[in-house]
Amino acid sequence: MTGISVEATTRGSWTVLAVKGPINSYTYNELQEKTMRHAGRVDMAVDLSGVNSMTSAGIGVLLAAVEDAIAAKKRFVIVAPSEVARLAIESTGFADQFPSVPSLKELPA
Amino acid sequence: MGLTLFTLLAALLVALVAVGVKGHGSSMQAFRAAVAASVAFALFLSAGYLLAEYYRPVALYLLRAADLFAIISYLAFLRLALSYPYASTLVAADVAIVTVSVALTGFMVFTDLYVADVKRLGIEFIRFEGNFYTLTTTLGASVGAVAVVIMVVRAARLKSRVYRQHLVIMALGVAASLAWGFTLSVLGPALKLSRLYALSATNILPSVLATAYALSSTRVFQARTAAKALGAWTVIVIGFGVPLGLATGVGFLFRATSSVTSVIVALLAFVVFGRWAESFSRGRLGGERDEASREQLEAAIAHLDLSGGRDTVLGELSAIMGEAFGSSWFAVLSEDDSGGLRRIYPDDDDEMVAAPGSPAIEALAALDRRVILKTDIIADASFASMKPVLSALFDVLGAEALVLAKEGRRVVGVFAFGPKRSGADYDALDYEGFDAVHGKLFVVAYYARHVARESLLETVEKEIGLADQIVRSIQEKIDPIEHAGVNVSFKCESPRGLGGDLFDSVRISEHRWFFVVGDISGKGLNASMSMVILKSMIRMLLKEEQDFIKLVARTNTFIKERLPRGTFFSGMFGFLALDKGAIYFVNCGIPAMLFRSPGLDSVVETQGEGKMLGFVKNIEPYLKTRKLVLPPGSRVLISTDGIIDAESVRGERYGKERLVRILGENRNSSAAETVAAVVRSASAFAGGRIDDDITVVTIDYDGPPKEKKR
Repeated sequence: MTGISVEATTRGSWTVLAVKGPINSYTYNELQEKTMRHAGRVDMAVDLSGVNSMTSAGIGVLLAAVEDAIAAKKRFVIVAPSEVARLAIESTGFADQFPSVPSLKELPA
Repeated sequence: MGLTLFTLLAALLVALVAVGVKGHGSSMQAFRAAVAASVAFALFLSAGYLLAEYYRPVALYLLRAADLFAIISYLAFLRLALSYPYASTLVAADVAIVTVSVALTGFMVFTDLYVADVKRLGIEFIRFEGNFYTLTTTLGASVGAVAVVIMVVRAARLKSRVYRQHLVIMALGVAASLAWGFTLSVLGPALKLSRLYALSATNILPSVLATAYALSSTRVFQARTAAKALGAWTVIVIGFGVPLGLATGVGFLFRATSSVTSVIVALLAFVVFGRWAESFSRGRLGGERDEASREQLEAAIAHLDLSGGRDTVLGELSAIMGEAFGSSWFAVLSEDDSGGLRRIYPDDDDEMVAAPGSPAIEALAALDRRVILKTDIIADASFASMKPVLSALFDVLGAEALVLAKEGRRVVGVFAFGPKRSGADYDALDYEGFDAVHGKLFVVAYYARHVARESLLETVEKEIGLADQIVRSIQEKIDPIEHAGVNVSFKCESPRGLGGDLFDSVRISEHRWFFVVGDISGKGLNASMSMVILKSMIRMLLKEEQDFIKLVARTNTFIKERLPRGTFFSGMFGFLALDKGAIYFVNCGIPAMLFRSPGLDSVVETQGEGKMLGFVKNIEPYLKTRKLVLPPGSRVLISTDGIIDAESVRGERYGKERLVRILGENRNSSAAETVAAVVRSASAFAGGRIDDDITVVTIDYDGPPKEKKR
């Protein structure tokens, strides 16, 4: 089973989590742990450009992060979702619930 | 109009509030009489005041009648003080009140002995008092004062804290009204307050609103909670009411040049400051903190280690609940095989508390509430018919609060909470807390009901085995779709024995079934707990909700508000109408609903677009009911994402195309064989290991019942 890597960096006022690999029932724990550490505490951006597959487990993690951010009045944004990540998000019917930007350069100030 | 407008608004407000107070009996009649008299007081006073400038004779009668109604309202509060909380019949008191009212009508309204004349010059109000004015007003006020004293004395003597609280609130309200009205109306001229005379009838607010609150509330509040609420409203009134008043005042200054502008400014100020105040009260005054502590409590229960055995789990739960609610003790009753309720914690003596079919069981089964406080039984009129039975149950247990775990009418378990260590009663905040964790407690009740005792635990696998046992027992509890016109087969599987996939069917009528297929997000124990709760909730909603879309919308609200953050549901809700030869369904993100018609010999996707549940608060506008007509010989295959997203060792996705192919290859197989073929194919594709939960359902339709008979 291919693993996942989640690397946290800071970019201005944003904490960026760069995800690489598949997000599924075996790998989502690491993403969940990292998002829970930051969601609702800081403005968080999740870079999904390196995601090569994503199941509902990943959507659940992102949804929880969005809800934490809204509850804490923090910002949350998805950065450059890969094709599979974009399709997974669109499959919910509520892609507009996941604000996204095409690249890290487009992150709001 | 000016100040009179406030008096009219006060009359409108108390009338609206009073309409919302439900109940019956002599106390309620006394309250309604008090409200009617109070409203009449405000209306007559307003009308009399307005007419006093140009129609003095009419105004005189109106203002005399107004004061008469004020005294009658105090008489009604006195009657309430004498009987509340009991439905006592006090004939002598009623006759005396009516007699006094009639006598006062003749004396106050139709003679000059009370008020001889009235006159108004602009906002300056002048009253020419009769010889008995002072005596009458003093006696009238004394009636109110006596009512207050009786309420306080009776409150001190009552054992029930909730009734004691009611009487104290009423006493404070009537006392405030009395002081307010007497100061403005009677003492007004002496205190140079005659310009505020038109406001004197707004004194109906405290007495009626306080009594309405008392009669509607069934739970006590603690002094700290009350002080907190009072402090919050003081901050709002000072912090937001004052700027609002100033803004409105500025708008009022421009009324002569532009009345429309002044009204718009006042309305805008109201909207802006109202929203500001609301947001402040929600965010800063404890609402969010209360919610956070409830979430922590939910999380603590969700993290109970079920592998520890029943007694250990219930012991840990007892510690959590004791700390959260301050209970002196905590007990758990569980349904036994006969349908009775036995105490399984803390004594573990399996004492039968309520026998199967007993009035207590019947009463709990009939209740449409899941949390009951002892104060509810005492003070809530809706419990009247069950009061003796439920009171007896509370007494047997010695409990002051119960949380029920019910599956439909069946009571699976009861969580009983002893008196608080502080000696206080459970209050509205506790009620909200119990209600918030009900879902999690439901799972524990199921665990206690279905999992073997600790002595047998050693033979059972650890956590997964235990939870799997719960999940399976619930998962298997469906109304199987068994009908001459249809053949339905399904498979629900999870890679670790635990999962959030769900298939449930409920028979609605001879030829119709409701069914739901889907996947709750998350994995393992958490997902299975959410699935258990959701399945139970959908069944409960199905009994309450006639509208299909609303049923789905309420399920969405439940997921959004009650299940852990990040939880969502992808699947479909359907009604299988065999007499109509159709499936009516709402797609909530089911990835595949494939249809094969015998005539076309091809497979088409029929699920259409769908919106998953749990993403937005109100999903109703997004939902659409679709109809799939089933010709005889047709087949429908529904699959959750576990099959579609299954990955091969090379990272390829199984996808819908393979599913379509399997469906085509198995056109002559039975529904069960087709389901098995799909699972086998996906499993082989994934190298023998599917990572996700899977659910596959196949529905083979043979034809409507009538056609079969022909």
